[in-house]
Amino acid sequence: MKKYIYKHRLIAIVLIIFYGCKKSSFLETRPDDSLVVPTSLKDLQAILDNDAIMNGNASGVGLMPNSGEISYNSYYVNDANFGGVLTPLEQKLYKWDKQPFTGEPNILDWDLPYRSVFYSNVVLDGLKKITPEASQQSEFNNIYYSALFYRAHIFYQLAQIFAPVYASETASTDWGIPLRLTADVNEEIRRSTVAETYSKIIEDLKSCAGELTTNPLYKTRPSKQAACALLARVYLSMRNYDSAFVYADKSLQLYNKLVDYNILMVTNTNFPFLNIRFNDEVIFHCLLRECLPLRLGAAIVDNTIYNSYNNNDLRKADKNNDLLKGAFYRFISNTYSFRGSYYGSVQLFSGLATDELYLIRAECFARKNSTSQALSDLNALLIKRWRNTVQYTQVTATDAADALNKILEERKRELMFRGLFWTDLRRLNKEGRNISFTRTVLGQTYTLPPNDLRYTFPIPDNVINFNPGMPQNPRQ
Amino acid sequence: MLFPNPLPRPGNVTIKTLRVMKITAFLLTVISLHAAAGGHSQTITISTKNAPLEKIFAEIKKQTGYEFVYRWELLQNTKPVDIDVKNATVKQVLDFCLKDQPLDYKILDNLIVLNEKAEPKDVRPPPLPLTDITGKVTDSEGNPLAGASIKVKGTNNGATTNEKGEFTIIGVDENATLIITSVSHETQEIKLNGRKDITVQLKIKITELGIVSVTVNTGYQHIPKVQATGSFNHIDNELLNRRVSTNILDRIENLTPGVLFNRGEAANTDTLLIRGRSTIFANAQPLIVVDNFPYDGNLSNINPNDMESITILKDAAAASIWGARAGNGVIIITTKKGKTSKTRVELNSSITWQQKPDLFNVNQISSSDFIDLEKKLYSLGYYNGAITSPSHQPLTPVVDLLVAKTNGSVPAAQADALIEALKQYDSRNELQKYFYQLGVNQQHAISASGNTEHINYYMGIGYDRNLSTKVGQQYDRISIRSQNTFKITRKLELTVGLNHIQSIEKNGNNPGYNYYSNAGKFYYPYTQFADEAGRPLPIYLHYRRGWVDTVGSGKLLNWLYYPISEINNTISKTKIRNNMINAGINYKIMNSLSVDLKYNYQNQVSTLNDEYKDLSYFSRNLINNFTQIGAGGVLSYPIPRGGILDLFNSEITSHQGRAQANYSQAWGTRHQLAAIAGYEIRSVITNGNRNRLYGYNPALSSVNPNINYTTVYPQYGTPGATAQIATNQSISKKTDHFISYYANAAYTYNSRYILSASARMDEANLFGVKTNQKGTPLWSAGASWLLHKEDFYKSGLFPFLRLRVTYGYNGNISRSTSAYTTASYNISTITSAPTATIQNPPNEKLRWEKVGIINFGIDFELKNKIVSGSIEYYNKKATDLMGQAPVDPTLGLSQNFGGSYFFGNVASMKGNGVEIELNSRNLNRSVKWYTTFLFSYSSSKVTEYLMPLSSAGSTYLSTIGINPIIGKPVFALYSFRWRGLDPATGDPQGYLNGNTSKDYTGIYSATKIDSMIYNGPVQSPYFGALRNTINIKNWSLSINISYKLGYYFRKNKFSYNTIFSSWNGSGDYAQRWQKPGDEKTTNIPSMPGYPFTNLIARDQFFQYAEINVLKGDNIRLEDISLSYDLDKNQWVKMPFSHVRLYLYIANLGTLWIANKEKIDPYYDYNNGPRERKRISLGLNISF
Repeated sequence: MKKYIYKHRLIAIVLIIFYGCKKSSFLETRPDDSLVVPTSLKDLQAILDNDAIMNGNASGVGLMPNSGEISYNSYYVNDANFGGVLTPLEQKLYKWDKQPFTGEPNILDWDLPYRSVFYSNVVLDGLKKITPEASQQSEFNNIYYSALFYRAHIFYQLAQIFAPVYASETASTDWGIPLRLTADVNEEIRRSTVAETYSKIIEDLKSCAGELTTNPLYKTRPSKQAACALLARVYLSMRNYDSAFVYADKSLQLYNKLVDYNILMVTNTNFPFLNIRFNDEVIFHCLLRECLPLRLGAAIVDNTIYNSYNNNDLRKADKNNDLLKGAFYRFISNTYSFRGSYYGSVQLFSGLATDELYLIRAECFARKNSTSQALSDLNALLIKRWRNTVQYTQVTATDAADALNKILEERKRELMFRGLFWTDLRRLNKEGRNISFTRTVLGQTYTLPPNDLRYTFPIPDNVINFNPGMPQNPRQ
Repeated sequence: MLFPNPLPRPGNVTIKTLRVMKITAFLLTVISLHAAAGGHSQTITISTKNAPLEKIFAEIKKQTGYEFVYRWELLQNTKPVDIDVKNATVKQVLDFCLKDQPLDYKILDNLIVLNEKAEPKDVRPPPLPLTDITGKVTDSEGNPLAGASIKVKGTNNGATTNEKGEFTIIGVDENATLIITSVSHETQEIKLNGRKDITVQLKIKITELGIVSVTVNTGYQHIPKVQATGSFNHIDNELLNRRVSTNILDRIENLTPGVLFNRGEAANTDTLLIRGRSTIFANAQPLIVVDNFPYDGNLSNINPNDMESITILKDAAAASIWGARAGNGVIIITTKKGKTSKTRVELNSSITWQQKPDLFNVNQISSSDFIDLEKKLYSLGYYNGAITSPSHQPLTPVVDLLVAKTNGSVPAAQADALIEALKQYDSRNELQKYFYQLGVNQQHAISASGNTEHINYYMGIGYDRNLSTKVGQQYDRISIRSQNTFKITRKLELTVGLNHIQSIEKNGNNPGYNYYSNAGKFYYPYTQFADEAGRPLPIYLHYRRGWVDTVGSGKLLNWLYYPISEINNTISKTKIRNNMINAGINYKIMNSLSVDLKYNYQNQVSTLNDEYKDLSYFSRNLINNFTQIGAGGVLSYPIPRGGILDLFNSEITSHQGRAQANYSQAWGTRHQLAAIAGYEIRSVITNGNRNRLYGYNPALSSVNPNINYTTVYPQYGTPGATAQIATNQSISKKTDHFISYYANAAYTYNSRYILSASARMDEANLFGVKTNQKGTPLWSAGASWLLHKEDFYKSGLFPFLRLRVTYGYNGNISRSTSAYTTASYNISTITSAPTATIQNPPNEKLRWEKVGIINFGIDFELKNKIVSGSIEYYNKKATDLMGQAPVDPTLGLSQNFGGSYFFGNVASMKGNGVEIELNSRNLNRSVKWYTTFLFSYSSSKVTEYLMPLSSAGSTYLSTIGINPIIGKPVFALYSFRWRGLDPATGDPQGYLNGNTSKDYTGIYSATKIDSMIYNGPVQSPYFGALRNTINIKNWSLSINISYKLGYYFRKNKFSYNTIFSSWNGSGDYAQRWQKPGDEKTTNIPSMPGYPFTNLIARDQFFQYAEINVLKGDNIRLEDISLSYDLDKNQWVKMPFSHVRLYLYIANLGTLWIANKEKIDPYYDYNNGPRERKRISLGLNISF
């Protein structure tokens, strides 16, 4: 018997050796070292720093909705490219179809921005589980307000496409966008009103403007000046010009550098801004969703716009003068295509930059009848676009209205392909500027009258399918 | 009175009780004698011969007056007696007469009562001295026989043999008799006669299947196949060595039912499947086990010469002991051990030759057709874009000449003559000459092994050297294996094994026929690779000839591409070192109980070096592209001049431990129980890193570390393009941790009813959640009935008949998702910040995949084994499969290019199959002829899947992409309906919305899946082989024919666009529609009109039309094996004990192809070169 007990003890000892390492920790070892369950501030910051998803830097993808930009007429495609280059969805958007999304399995204009919202929410939910030490408090705060900024920015971008333009009189009854405020996949999804949408955006951005740093490590990260700049843009879209002025001004007081285009190295074939990718004008970097016509150079810049540049404007390309290679345009066989993205590639910059703020502040000055201040902002910008071998001609205006018109014209020249004009069109027509478009495709002419229902895109079908009862945007 | 005679044996422990009994008996006898003596005192005188007892009884009665009382029949079996006594007492007479008779007597007063002689029941013979004995049971060939039952005759003491055929019984009389029984063998009795260590050879029961003598190794235990309830296939050593190959798995193809090796296009789905697919997105590869533990290294590292046999576990009962990793079946490779007491040295050497592949199997457009086409396209202006493009697009020599002719730099007549001359070249001739060679594979192995009282040892060394049919490819492998078991005491054994493998694979830059330049060009049909003197010629597949010849005016590196020189300018070398150590202790606690402790360590280090020499095109091209022109035309080289070295290192380290108790006991002759229970722990860590070094100089072993990775440089070769210098650096670490508990029991009643049960619990570090949610319990149960052992079973036709049924679950692991939010780290290429990408949202309900299998089997054998075999039917249901389920994109789970879904346990599949193996002895005299026929049917389909059907049927055209459709196999072939060629134009026609259509884009993007043709599965559902073996004297010939039926493949994809833009393509071009009426004889569309409007869509529609889907069914002559065996007893002077010479021929081609075009589906993918015959010669000598 004794012998047997001894043997069993031996087995027991061996089993304990096998168990040597504690079982729970053995089974909790991460299966892949590059895989983490994000719990630390470092992890959460890394989620926000995922510029492919939060800023759209993934090549061939982008982030911000482009349906508006494709629908806007700063460019045209010829019939061959219409059939050969444009995707079916782009063709429908180009022709202002009533139901452009029908039959499309995925509407990336909706899906990718909401993915970025999910990332922000994962961070915001993750922060709730962290009690920062005193030394981490500022890092903690910066992550928190950054996440709020990214989310508010996306909400604003989505509202420009999927919600009607803000109008104070109907905002509380118009349908806005679903405001996803947690990462919980079980939370009900419903549309807010336009008033709710904008008030959430503004509320979050205002808190960001108070708390974010003025000195972000990367331009893909938000900052105090970015929050102010975005507020200015948001108020502008709401036609709240007083507030837009306040925040544009605030932002420019924090940061107002401009780039003198004379320093650009421009050759026939390059992208002029490639070597100064995050140039001095950029406040916050993000990219528009990519679309084929722009990527493949099939989008031909509208002649009226091209011709409206002064010949000494460095943004303009001149086919007759090889020395005058344009920062914005490339001359290819009698037509001009755009190459002026601040990202320095075919991917379109749609972030916040000081040039836009100068124009916002100028517009707001003009609307306040401060003509000279308006013109001084405008000229401060334009002199940086002027060939330095030629004397700069100051822009003048007969009155505030003239100045306003000139500033709005300059917006079209300066902010090409940044995804801003669709919003401009919606707000300017709302105040009676009566801008309408026509396009001719394969002999057929299409028209988009002012204030048309087609200025608000439909909610994607699969979203409605997942949420029966969600109101759809009327298109006719 | 008869008295048991006490045997005076000293030292008897029970002598005291015996003494008491003896006294009692003595007293009783005395009393009875007294009584008798009281009545009569006369004596008897009697003399008679051969007298029946009755007569003697009568005489006694007459002389003494004693009456006899007995039943009459008692005297029936008595013998007559010779007696001659004078004055003897009654007792003396009776004692004498009844001495050898079955009668006893009692004297009661004057009565003599006769009775049957009582056996001396109460009194045992004094016990013999007890001892512990050990022994070994083998079959008639000396192979250990596990699971045999040993009983000490007349006692309940006994034991069962372990996997090595060994047993120990404690406390046995040294003169006892042992009864050894085994289900598959004749029962044998052995008298110990004082021996303490015995070896018993059992004979196979004549009536039973050959396979029943086999023990199958499950990786945890060896069980006699006849006692197993589950579905096992065993490939013994002879069968394993039938084929000559470097890789062990190659040797099991077409030798066992249920195992499918996909070839051709289907090989891109799964290379190897056991019983079809039972998962959608998780790995479908079977688990591979070497001896006792899963093998984590590279399988090509295993030296087949060190391997004894392979067992394939297919159903739940067989495989469930492997739990969560058994869902795809398990392949157990068993290594060789010592067998004979004398040292056995074996030498095996073989050499294999393989002819150059047949490039003319490639259906390539002829040079003359292509040149005519080029001239036509040139005149149409098709090349104008390329000619004027700023990016120096390459042109073929013909187009170059046409340009020169046009601009006058070459006189027209001369240009025409040069062009005409090019028509005589066929690139395949020179490709075959310079890029292919006769392949020569050598394999040598030597081993020494033995099995003595104290040690079982095996030591083997192997060397392989393969020169591939492609120039510049070479593989070398050295393996050393040593496996020893020390029998320290009768109860304790220690096993230590060491295995070292080193292999080096070298590949030059030789893509052979399938070269595809980064400008998207193939070798044009008239490519010349060398001049008449054999000097390599440059080929312009990357940039324009005129440009690349003069670019950089001598300042840049030579930018020409010489395919022949490139073979040696880039060397890719993979070095793998694999070390394995295993150790084990087996301790016998009791006869019926032993404990095993096993440990296995594996470490595989592989280093892959891709060396691009300074002369390689890769290096020159990269350096040139990054070259920058500074002020004053000064060049700078962001990528330093010299070679480039890419390094990939990976290391797998695994530790595996196991503690297992083995219990095996028999009660009486009818009950037998064998059970194991154990605990296992496993840790596998995989580390990897890669790096690229620029400016590599092998002579000085130096590199240039001063590289600017951040600046974006314009590319010299492509105007407008920019790039950063690739770092090619990464590092990774993966950890797999498992803890498992398992138990398995088999109960045999009366050696004809067998019940088995198995259960296993696995826990892993997979999901990163709470420990108690990590595990999955899996179980199985089975029963087997040896029908022929029943008394009522009278069939003489089937002397062996067994029925089996099992049911249970195996698991499968998918690492595609996690129960918790997980993120993977990376570095932003734009900002260089660490970035985290969320891999999946939390899913707390995540479970492991489960495959339930019910299996029915019948094993039978006809009289004299004329035919034997087994038939199995199974039904599988795979549930909780990982799959995609669509979700609201608003949740934010979208993919970059669309699709919003999450991974979860949302899919199911089911499948069933039949497997038949028949073995027949057609002749069994001096000429022996055996046939083995294998048939497998296996089908599976998706039964549940939540993703919606894509609105575009084109999603489902890929044969290798996974786009499950409910009711169809995971890999299914779909095509567009074909309406024939337009008789007027030769345009292909299909259907759109039910109408004839030439809207190719519309057909491609808008045809719904239900309007498409479902052709069938990509993987063959019916397959098998027919193997005939003929033995005449010392010669043995074996021929294997295989077949695969019921599957489909897409034939070579004829595409105008490929021919136009890639410069090469299908020779079907010659069959194109050219004039009305051709549509009756051809399906190849006409040349599209220029300018091409819908070229790609038109091509795509045609490629994916139903007419281009062909039946894959084929029967092929797999191989022929011929061998000559000579034994020492046939030729006594021979210095070896056995010699075997063998010839093996493989890749003999098809015997029958179902499709009309006679396209062999094994080689059609890309219409690639066909492999040709492989011939091996070998010699096997044992001492």
